[in-house]
Amino acid sequence: MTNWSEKKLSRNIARGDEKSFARVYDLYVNKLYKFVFLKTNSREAAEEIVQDVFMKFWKFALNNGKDIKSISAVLYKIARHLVIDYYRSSSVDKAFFQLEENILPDGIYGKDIAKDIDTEYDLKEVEQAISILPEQYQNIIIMKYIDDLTNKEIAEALDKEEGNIRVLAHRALIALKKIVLKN
Amino acid sequence: MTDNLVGKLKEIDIQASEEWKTTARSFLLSQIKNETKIQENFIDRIYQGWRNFAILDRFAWKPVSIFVLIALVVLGGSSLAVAVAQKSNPGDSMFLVKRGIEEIRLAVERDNSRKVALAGSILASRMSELNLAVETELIAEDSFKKDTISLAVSEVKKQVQVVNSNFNRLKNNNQENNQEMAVAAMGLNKKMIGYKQELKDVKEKVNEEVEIEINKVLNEVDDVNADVLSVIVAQRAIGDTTIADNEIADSLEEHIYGIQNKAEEVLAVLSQEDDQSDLVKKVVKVKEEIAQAGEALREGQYSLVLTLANNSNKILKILYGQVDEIIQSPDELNTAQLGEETDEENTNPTSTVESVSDGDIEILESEESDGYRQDEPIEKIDAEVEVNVSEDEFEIGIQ
Repeated sequence: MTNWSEKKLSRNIARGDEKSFARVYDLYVNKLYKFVFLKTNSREAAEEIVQDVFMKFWKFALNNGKDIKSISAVLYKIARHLVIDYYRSSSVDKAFFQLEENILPDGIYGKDIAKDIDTEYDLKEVEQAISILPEQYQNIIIMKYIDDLTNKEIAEALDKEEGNIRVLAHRALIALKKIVLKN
Repeated sequence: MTDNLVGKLKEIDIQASEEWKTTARSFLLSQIKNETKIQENFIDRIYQGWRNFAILDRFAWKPVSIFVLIALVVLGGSSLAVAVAQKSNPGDSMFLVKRGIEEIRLAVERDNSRKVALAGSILASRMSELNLAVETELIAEDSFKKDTISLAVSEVKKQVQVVNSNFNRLKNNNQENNQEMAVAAMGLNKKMIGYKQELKDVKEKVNEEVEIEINKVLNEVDDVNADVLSVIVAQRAIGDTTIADNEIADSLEEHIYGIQNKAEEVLAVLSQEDDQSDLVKKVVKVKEEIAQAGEALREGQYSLVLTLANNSNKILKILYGQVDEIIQSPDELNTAQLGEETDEENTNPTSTVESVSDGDIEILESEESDGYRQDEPIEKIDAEVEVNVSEDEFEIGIQ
């Protein structure tokens, strides 16, 4: 979607236009569902959180619609915060399952991870590996390679510089590869 | 180099069920209709606005905010403006009018227990505004962020103080119907416990500066709770069984648990700082006192529980204030505390800590064998608390 059409949609929503809201829903529901599901590993949680995301988006846009530059950035920000709240309130200690960046596996002896191109990956293993990536890498992997957001959109959603996204994406892929190969 | 992996990522095909997507879509569209209606229902808002203005007119002689009267006169008694004000939030230009209307409502309410309930419902509004401010700030793009969270926290703090003062007025004036007051106190206690949790949730999402302000609000909430619990416990002591024993025990347990958590937080911060071993010892002693309160609770000695808990809380308040000052840099401390004053004693965090330790030495080192504290040391602590609060309290936002 072009910037212009996003701005038009958000301005319409600020005026209370339900059709514009429905359009936003149709455009983003699949991507957001994927994003939240991969982070929570739970269909029920993903359904509940995605619904909340759109409700909060509506309320935010009613008051701030004319200021929104990127609808996707707002939606993903809301989604991230709701997932964090979900982990805070749920009995599952996400931190127990999620790796910190400084304790990612060192790599596999004899293999240059960055240059390895021949390995075949199991889809399920990749999905599981994503769920235990550190949060920052998780976000980038899902947004860039699964939800197909542009670097600009990812930068806005994560409050980072666009230039940093490429570097982070590269690191995230390496991290993911290490986990998958280690398993 | 990672082509295979990227290719595999692109194969991930997680889909929500079509049934859910359709149901959720319909549900959302029905819900947002309600949201829009609330925003646009000016007919009800205008009516409410006129009612408020009419009340103001009748009670203009009451000592209420004069500037609000002026504002409403200037606005031409505009009910639309009043309607807009009622939807405003901290930081909005019309928020002052909203607060003014609330003050008027509180002022014209004659019944003390209804006053407390009204103050409580206004506090609920302040909490909603705070939650909204936090959500909005987290989502808003940097160029459009406003510092509304600090303002909202400040408003919550003021309203908690209003609730406390109204409750104390009720307590002092109410010679009959103590049962009714105890029931009202229990209701207020439950709300305060809820607000405490909400404030703690907000604390996790804000920066350090706002966190410090929220800690002050949490202290105020604890003060209200302490007053409320004293009424409940006093009623119980004279044999009033309107409130069930287990309800009182649960509330006291919650109170002690909150103080214990506070002690743990203070300890966690102090253990990261150098040269704070004296303060650490004091916190450890406070924890022992809290443990004694727990014992007293198990034995049903509610008055003793409250005395021990409140004593610990007062000491922690002082220590908490000092911990906040230790976290702030000396430069920030200079600016935040005293403006242009250059008194060395006040701007040196170390000397402030020492002055506190003088004040509370009697409490923590006294040799009460049953853990029961005398009144005199508590009054000394009170004096220290007042001094420290007036020195380091500054308010952001609308006064």
